[in-house]
Amino acid sequence: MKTKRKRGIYEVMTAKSKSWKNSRSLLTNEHYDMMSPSIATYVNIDAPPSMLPAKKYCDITGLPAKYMDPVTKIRFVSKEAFRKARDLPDHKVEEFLALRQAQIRIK
Amino acid sequence: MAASRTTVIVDNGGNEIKATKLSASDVLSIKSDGKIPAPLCVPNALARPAKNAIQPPPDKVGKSRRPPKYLVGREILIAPDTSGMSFRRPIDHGFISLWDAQRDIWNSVFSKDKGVGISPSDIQSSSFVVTEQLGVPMHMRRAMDELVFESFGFHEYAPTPPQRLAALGAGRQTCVVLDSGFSFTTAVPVVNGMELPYCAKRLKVGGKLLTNYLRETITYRSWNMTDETSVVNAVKERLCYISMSYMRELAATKKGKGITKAYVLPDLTRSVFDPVGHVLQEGEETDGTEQLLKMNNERIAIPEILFSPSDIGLKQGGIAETIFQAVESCPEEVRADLYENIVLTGGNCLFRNFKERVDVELRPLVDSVYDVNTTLEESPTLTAINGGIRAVVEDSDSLKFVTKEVFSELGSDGILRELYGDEMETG
Repeated sequence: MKTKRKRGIYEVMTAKSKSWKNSRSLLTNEHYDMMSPSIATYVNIDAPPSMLPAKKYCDITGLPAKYMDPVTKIRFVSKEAFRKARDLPDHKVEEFLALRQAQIRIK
Repeated sequence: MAASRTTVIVDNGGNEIKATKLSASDVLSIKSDGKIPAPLCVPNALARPAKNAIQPPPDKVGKSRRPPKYLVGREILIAPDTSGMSFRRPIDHGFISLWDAQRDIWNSVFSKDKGVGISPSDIQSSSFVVTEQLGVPMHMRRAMDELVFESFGFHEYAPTPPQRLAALGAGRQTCVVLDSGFSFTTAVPVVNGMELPYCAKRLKVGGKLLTNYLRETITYRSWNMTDETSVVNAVKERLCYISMSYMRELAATKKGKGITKAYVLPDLTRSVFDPVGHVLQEGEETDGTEQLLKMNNERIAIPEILFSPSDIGLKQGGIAETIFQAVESCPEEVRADLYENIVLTGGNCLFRNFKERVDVELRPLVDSVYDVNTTLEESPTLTAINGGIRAVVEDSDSLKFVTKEVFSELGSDGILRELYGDEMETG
C-alpha cells in the first residue's frame, strides 16, 4: 500500500527561505482536537496550578513583603524600598512587574 | 536491531548534547566488563563571539586564518573569551525549531576530529538512537525523520523520550522520572520500561528560566549583566543552592549577614585566565579594583522557583506537586511502586539539597499508606545517555527502531504508524 508522501516542514522550509518558525508559532498550527486523548501532546501534559497560595515578595529586595504601593503596584518591605519604588520611572516599574508577570496589560 | 551494527546514541538536551558511538566490539566489551564509556558532552548551540572578542591562537605558525563566524560544539568549550558571546540554540522550549543549526551541530558531533568519529559512509549502515521529548508536535516529528534519513542517511533510528532512557539508566523497570532539565521539568511515570504518556506532567521551569531570572534580578539590583549569560550561569551553578528552611534563611539575609557571598566578575584586562569569574574565597586578597558581585538572598530565591513557581506568577505547582499529580493520574495499582521509585535526573538536580527538599515537600502531599523514596543519580545529566547505552547493549525492547525503507516507502506517516500504532493517523 503506497500513500502519497506529504512534504514535511523541513523540505518546505529549506526550499523556500532560510527563516524558521519558532516553536510557539508551530504549536498554534497543531490540530489537537483531532488527536486521541491517550497520547501526550504539548498542551495536555502541562502541570496544573498549585494548590498552595502564592507568597508575596518585595520587588526591590526579594524579602517577604507586607505592603503594596497602590500607585505603582510594586510590593515593598520597608521605608527605603518604598522610596526606591516611587523613584523609579514608569518603564522601570513595568519591567519590575513583568518579572513576576504582573504588568498591566492593555487589551 | 542487528547487534553487528554500529550505533550512535545522542541525548539531545537543550543545553548540552551528550553523544557516544558503540561499535559491535564496544558492545561486546561492555557486556563482558560492564564499564560504560564516558560520553562526549558539548553545548548544543552555535555561538557567535562578540565583535571585539579575543581570538584563539592560529593552529600553525605563519598561517593566518579568518576567525570563524560561528563556533560549534567543542570549539565553544575552548574559546578563550566567552564575554558577550551570543548563542543560537536549535532547541526552543524543549523542541528543535532551528533544523539547520541542529544539522550543523550534529555534523560536528559525528565528525572525526571534534566528535565521536563516524564517517559518512559508515552512517549509511548505522543505527541512531536520539532523545525526543514527549508531546512533540507533528511538524517536528516529521522534520526529525527528514533530518535523520535525508540529511544524514542513517539505516534506522529510534526516537525515544529521554525519561524512558533515564529509567533504564537508573536500572528501574517501574519508576517516576523527574527530569529537571534546561528547558523544563517533567515528571513521567514509567511502568515496565514504557512511559505512560497521558500521565506525564510538565512544569515550565528549567535551568534556562532560572539563569535568565537571576540575570534580570542582578541587572535590576546591582550590575548590568544583560549580555553576560555565561557569567550569570556560572554564578548560578557555583553560588545558588536550595534552602531547607526558606523563610528563616530569607529573614536572616535582611541583616546582610549569613549567606552573603561575593563573586569576582571576569576582568579581561588582567592576564589571569578567568573567563567567567570565580567565587571570592575567604582570606583572598582584593586590591579594590575587582568588580565584585554581592549575592545575598538571590542565592536561595532563584532555585526556590522550582518549588514554588507561583512566586514569579507562573500558574503551576512546584516540583513536588508535579510528581504528585503525575502519579495520582496513574492507575491505582502502580502508584505504590511509583512512589517508592522516584528517580531524580537532569542538571537542576545538581543544586545542593535538591533531593532533601523534594523528600520534605512530597511527604505531606502523599497518602500515608505509600512509602516515598527518591534517589538522586550520581551524575544526573548523564542518566539518559547511560540508559541509552544500556538499552543498546542489552538489545532492549524499549528502543523502537524505524528503518529508512519504511520512510522511503511510506514517509513520515508510515513511521508514525510504526511508533504509535493507528492512533496517530490524523496528525
